[in-house]
Amino acid sequence: MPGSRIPERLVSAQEAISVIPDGASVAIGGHTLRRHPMALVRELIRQRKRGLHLLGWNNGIDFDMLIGAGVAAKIETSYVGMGPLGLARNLRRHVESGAVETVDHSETTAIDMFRATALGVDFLPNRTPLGTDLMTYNDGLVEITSPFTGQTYAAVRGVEPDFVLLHAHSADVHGNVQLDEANWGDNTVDPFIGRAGKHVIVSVEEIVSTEHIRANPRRTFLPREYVTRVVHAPFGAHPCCADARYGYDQDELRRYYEASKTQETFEEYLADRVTSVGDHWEYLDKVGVANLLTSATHTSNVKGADTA
Amino acid sequence: MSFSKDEIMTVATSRYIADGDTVFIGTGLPMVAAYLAKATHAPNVALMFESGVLDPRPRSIAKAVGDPRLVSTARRVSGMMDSLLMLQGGRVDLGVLGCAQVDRFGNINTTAIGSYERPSTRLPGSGGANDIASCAKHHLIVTRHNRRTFVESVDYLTTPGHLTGPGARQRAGLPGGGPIGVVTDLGVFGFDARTCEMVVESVHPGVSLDDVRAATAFELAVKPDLSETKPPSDSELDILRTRIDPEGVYL
Repeated sequence: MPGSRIPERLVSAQEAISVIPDGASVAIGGHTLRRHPMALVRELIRQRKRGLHLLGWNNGIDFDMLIGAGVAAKIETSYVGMGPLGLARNLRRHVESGAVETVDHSETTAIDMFRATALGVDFLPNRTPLGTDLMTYNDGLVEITSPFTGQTYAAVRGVEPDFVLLHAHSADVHGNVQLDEANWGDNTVDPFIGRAGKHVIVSVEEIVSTEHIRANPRRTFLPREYVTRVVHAPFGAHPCCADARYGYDQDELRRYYEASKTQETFEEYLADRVTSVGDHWEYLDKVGVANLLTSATHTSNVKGADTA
Repeated sequence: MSFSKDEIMTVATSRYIADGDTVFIGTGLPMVAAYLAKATHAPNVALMFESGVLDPRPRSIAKAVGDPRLVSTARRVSGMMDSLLMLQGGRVDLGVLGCAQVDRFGNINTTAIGSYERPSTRLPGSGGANDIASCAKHHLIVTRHNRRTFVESVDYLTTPGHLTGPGARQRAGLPGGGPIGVVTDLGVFGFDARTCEMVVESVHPGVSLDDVRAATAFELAVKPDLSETKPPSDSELDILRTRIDPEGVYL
């Protein structure tokens, strides 16, 4: 269409991340070790962002890496762990030292923070945190009474993150974002996170035409109305898995986990894998084509990893 | 046949799973226990995985334990939002949870040891555990038994048991019925109907009541008809070892 006024939103990861100021609130999609936007996470570290308030619903290596790199001042989620590998060691170190503040949720209250904003309301009622210390320490959970029945609920305060970072399978240059039909079900939460942010940056495995989007409209999980920037980042979730596109890179996850034992060895890891590497394309070169293409077919060396 | 601690815990857990129940299940020992129940006394149990897979009928049990894509024989495949909705809507009969600390009312901590702001050990947090314990009709706690875990009071109450005692869950507004039992490597425990406090129901073979008390930092009530936990049968052990977890990945 000549003179189309639909903006093109495809930019590099550097450009997309460069507008995020220190101290911003940043929500991150994905689940434990699945489909986190790791290319964007590594770019946050490269650009030396500081004091971020991270939000999520179930997090793993994404939060742990940002905490270990000194990017996060505050985290708000239901979970930060390394799945079958064990506890998140950077989280432990920096929360135990008092460097990082935590705001804890149940899974459903964490989701409701985003769902409220997506619905255009500033809170949602939820029963899960009642009677627990989630209510004691999280001022975003407040007891209320139903005007209809007198039932007690926790009001979960809605959040509108300054930025949302997600990783998906494909998008067009306008920001119509799709997931393959073969997906692992955790991505039913990402659409709510994507509908709650002021600025939504989505990295994708491949850029496709708008005709391709229109030919498969049921795969669109976030239409361009919600999306501000699209970044082309193949293997952008590495070393996490991305549904049926690729599995966990278990060797890389193990290397990360070993390195996170001490701050010193973790900084060596960051220097090697993140800060000495110019951008995501150079990162892919460093991991290597053969490694990227075969890591998913390696036999599991992590107990129980297949079901994480 | 002799058996390991994990094996008697798995068999004791499986006995809580009733035929026809819809059970919300994580990975590891509880999943193995659920498949054991399905292969023995509860063929019609519907397993609900957080990923949204409901009621798979795997042709090979061993395969089912290791493979998250149990989609080919399931009754429904959806996503996390849907599995959490089933919980919140009260359609789940039983959930199975682990813990880092548990008190006499079955309240669980998986958030922080020590103070919340400056913990001596920061743990992963609730994940879906709070949601399961708050909303499932009942839940079961499965954990190793020692004084660091069985504490007088939890440092942080992540996941509700019976809170402060009789009626406390209802007063707080929680929908689910709370914990019905605790399975450990030392014994099986219930909750007294009158006090909601943990009681010893049975001790595993070779374990004494003194062993249990020594590993528990709060006063434990004992059922008048305290018995020995029924050991795993040869056929249960055979199913576990040859059909469900033949490579010993989970137990």
